Amino acid sequence: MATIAQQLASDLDALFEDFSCTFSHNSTSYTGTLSALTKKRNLEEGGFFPEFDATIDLKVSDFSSAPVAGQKITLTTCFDTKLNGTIFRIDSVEHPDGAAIRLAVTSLTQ
Amino acid sequence: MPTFYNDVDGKLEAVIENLLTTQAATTGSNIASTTIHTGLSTADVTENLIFALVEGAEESPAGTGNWMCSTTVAIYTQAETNTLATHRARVAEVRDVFMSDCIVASITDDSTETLTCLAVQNYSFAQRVEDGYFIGEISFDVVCYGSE
Repeated sequence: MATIAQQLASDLDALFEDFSCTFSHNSTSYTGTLSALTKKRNLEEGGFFPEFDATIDLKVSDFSSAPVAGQKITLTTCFDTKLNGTIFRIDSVEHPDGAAIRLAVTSLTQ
Repeated sequence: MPTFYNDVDGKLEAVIENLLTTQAATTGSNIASTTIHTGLSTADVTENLIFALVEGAEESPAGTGNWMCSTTVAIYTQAETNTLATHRARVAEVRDVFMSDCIVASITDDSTETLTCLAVQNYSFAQRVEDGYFIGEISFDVVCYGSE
């Protein structure tokens, strides 16, 4: 009988199959998915801030060392191809269960 | 049609942006890889940014056509990608540009806009950290006039 952790990991795999994205972090490629994308374009002193906020879900077991806030992660391929190549900075790292890592990210402009 | 007095802030911002761009092009400049904008800009910002904002201008003394322009140059450095030493070097270089003995002549001689600078004075520094950025500012007043 599968453990709860195994069931959660399996659920993640099913999610990743339907909304598959690949990411590059520290020169390693990972499979995951992107959700809750918010696009903003605020005008402030100095110019427009074209911010993309999003949530990235990845599998804990894929990482030997988990991402940390402040690092960069690149969306290599996405079901929305317009987003391919977007570079994000990690705002926060959440561990909602034993299987997933959820990253709150903001896009960079360079 | 813009004349000097009704666009004094915009013209001065453009001159300062050009002075910074010129500085960035010098060999070994610490701000070479930093995007430079005017304070009011429609360009997209980047993580590392310098902008020059003329926050206000007041004719002083009244009726003379001389304007005292309150100006701030801000240096934003992304703290994850850059060291504090890099940020401090950028801030120091920008401060050097505007605290140079020849800054009055540099503003007057800049061909971006036609204005004559009489004085640059009342310098102040500020620094802070915000949303993962080191931010350094230099503020000063530029007294200037123009004819177009």
